Amino acid sequence: MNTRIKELRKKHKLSQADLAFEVGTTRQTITSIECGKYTASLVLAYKIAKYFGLTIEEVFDFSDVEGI
Amino acid sequence: MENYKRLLKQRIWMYISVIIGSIALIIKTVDRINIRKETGDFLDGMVEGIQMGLLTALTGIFIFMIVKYLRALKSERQLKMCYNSEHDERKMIIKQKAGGNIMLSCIVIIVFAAIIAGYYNKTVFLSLLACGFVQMQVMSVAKLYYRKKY
Repeated sequence: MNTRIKELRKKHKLSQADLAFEVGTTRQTITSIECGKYTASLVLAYKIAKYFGLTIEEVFDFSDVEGI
Repeated sequence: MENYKRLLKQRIWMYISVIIGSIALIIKTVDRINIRKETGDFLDGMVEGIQMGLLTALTGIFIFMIVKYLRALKSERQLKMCYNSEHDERKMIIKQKAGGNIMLSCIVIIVFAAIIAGYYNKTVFLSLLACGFVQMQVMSVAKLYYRKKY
């Protein structure tokens, strides 16, 4: 799943470690989410979106998900 | 975070009691090695040597964990990082896929049983150790695979 996390991080001048610390996860998880290898759970997706002051749909790209 | 601080303190006390137990077993094993030095050949010390190695490694690991937790208890940032690392969802999924807590518990029980069996029967000791070792390898390979995948 594609995300805008990297773009949002750079806009807010945040490192992966900083974002991970703020949303309660690890740097490796943020890396995996940005690479599209790992799909965040609803709770983590909500925390990330809330941190940037956006909705989940504005951060995560659901266009590749089948059936939507 | 208060609950987590309490949990870390409980773990520290638990690790201290395990370290004391390990040191007691190390002393007993050293005593056995000294007896064998006088009576047996080189291979007779193998079981005691492996036991010493395992117990020393266990003691070292728990000392490291105690130091890590003490540092986390001193700093709020370290505490939060420790908490995040333990409750990270990706790590939990990888752990679950690689056999989870059950596999790890089996390995720990087998290794402890091997250490105790070593005081009574060499064949049982080596069999249990081999079993524990194979389980550890399977779990490690599975973890590496899922770490790459996710």
